[in-house]
Amino acid sequence: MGHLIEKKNIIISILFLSIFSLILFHYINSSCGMVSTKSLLIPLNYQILESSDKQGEINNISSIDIDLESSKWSITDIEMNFTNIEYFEPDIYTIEDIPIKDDLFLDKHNVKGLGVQFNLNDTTTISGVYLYIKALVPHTLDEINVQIRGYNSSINAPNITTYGEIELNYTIADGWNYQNFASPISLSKGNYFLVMEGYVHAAGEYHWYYNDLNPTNPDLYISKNNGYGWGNSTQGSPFLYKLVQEINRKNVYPEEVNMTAIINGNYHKILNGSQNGSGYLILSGIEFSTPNEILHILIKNNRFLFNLSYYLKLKNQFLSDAFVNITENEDNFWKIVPDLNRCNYNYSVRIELPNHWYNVSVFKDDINITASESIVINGNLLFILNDTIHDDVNWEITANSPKIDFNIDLSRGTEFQLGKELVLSAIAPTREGNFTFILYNELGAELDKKTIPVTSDETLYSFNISSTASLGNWTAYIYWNNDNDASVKSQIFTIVPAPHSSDTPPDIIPILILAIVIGGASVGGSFTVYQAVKRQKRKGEIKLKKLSNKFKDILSLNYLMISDNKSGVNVYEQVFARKTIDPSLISGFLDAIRNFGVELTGSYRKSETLTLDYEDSVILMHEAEYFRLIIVMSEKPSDELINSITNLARDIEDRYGNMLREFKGGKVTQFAGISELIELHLNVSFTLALKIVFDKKVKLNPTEKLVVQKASEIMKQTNLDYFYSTFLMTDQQFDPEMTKTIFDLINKKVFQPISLNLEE
Amino acid sequence: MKEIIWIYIIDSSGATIFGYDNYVKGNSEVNHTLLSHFIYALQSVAKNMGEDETKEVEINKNKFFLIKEKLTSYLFIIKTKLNAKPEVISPILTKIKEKFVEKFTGHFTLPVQDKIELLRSFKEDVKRIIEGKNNLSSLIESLSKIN
Repeated sequence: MGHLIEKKNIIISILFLSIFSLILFHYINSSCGMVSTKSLLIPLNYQILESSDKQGEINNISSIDIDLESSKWSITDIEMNFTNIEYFEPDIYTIEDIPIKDDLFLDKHNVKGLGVQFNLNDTTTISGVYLYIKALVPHTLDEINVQIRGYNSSINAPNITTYGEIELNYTIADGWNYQNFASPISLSKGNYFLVMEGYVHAAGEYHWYYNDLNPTNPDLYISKNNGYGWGNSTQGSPFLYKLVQEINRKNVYPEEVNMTAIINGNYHKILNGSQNGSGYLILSGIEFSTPNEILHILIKNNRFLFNLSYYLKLKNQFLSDAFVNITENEDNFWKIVPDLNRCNYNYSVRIELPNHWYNVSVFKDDINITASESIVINGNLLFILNDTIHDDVNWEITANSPKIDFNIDLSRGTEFQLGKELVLSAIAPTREGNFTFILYNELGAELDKKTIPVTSDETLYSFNISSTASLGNWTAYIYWNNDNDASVKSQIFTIVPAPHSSDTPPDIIPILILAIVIGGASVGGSFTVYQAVKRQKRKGEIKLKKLSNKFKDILSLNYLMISDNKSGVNVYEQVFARKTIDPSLISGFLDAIRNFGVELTGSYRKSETLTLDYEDSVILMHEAEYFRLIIVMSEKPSDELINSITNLARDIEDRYGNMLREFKGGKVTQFAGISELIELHLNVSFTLALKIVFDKKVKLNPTEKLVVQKASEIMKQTNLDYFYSTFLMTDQQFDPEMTKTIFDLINKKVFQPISLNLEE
Repeated sequence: MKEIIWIYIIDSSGATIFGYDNYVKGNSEVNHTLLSHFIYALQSVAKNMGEDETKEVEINKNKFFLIKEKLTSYLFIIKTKLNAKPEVISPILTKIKEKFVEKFTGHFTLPVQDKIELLRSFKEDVKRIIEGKNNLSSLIESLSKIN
């Protein structure tokens, strides 16, 4: 029996212990939350430098074109060796040069062409000719050309073959004018004609001097074209001309002929080589890229023919796919996955890694090749060398880095009620990178994930806790990273139910409790406390009502106008962020005032400000001694606005009264400052497009920071560089706290109005 | 179509031409002064939009889909909940725009009373377009459940 009792006791004890353990386990779980350690994979771009060399040979060229295979490359070094350099030296061969007569010329009605024979004893390249001419009354519509034509031996005149042609150059009105053919003309031995012919539009005359007295070449024929063909060929009086020929000089030293390469717009002299006809050019420490994949190098004057061997060093910086895996209580894990496509010759890759990364490994098709000779790690530089880089290979570079510390500001507490906003701010170790906030509920389910770039000292995160959300311990994971560092912190928040009575201002509760404690249970004491609470509540309600009225009034503003009483001229007007005002509305309204008795809205008149319903608008008019202030609104104004208008009118009178009294029409720029008074009394900025102006000196509270952040996010979303205050109101509902904060931020000049024209 | 909250059409000056509230139980009452300013302000979001281009922006936990009509420069706006899908909303918006153009082309100079009548019938069209899409969405949804 005793044994049985003992056994029963043991069973009861085990049962008790089991229940106790279960309770304890549940307690531990509840207090710590159900979120296990989380990790976050953040994609990044990592900068990689690839380099390659390009070498080759090209023969028999006059300019250089090197195919770089891609336009991505920057050229950092150039080495070029030139051999078999040939130079086409220009040489002027004078045929006739003594001007005797000038009575032969092209004109509109008689002579259409003049020509002179020339003879070549050998194959010759002609790059241009000099003609001794005189241009009288030339016209822009004249079309005169200089040609090298074939020789018609039967009539000793030009034939129909044209070997080269150029528009006549007559920059020197009376004298030698050089005619430069676009490309040198190679002519074989024989007779040719040099011709000047074309169409003269008006009174122009193009004279070509000739020598009929003592010509050097009296046997050369000259010929004329009178519009019916060439003929009238005669000898003994050749026109004055010089041929500019090119003499082919082989194996010249480049310095001797000033051979110059034009690279990226810069001129570089080619230096003499060790042998006849050779030269070189070495450029290092340069950096330029080409608009396409061809490196095009011109040789100045284009008078050279050569063979070339070249060696170029190229580089390109590109962004590679990468990521960092951040896990609490573990070092960060980095992986770079570069897409390496070998190019040209001697291709290598350099990656600059942060100093504090360790355990750097290089994987080629999943095989760790860190220890191979093709991988060099020198300080924080990692090189992957030429021999190991092949196409269609998967590369991975991995490393670890220690966590870097950052702070979380929990000044708003760690306990939040349902229906409220959970707010925390994080301070990045450096003002760069991103914060990623992930919020999990008590069951570990993800509720929210936001990535916010670090743009200021503090980065705010907020989450609206719905009124039906689950209670308990929620965990926020706060990840920070840039391209080199990363870290994570977690924070538990307790979500509690909202109190039943939300009418009593929270700051009154401690006072209430204190009053009750001090006053004990006495009825008188309680009554005093009750009265104080009631007063406070009433005060709060009045304040809220005022803010709501102000908000409604401002958004109802359509138009404001100030006109001079004497002349009726508008000295100031402002259209608010609403539809444009039909000018006939105001003039019709003023006519109605003048001609008829106008029914007063609600039959009230506040000071000197009249409020009237007119068509679909409400018009407010304030009559002052020298001016009339008219405001058009879409809704009835509050009493506060009417008071503000009266005050505004008084200030305008004080500051601009004298100017208005003496105003006799003309420029109204002197009244531009009225806008400041309008802002002071009516806070109209609230209704205008606003920009954010960051000023370190202006201190912002957490709510203000949050609103600034929200405005920034909206600007990003809408792709605008401004926003409107109503964009910040959830569901287009009046939000007193938001409204007050926007007013405060406008006052602090963090939100500043900008002028826009939406109809642009 | 529970995701749609309202539809507005505004002219180039920001004046509301047409408004349709897709009343759903639980939606809070609209503050017209604020809404009017907000809709005006949305116009600036559509400033550089081209013809037939639908723009989607997220403002304060709602999505706004916008499309512009070329001839009149009228802006058609649909406000939805965050979970609305562009592939569902954009065709609705285009259809509403087309219906509006079809209905009002040549009728902009009608007497006010006739315009009011036209708008009333257009409102019915908008309702049908939304509900039509609703039925289609339900069908797709039920079919996907079967699969």
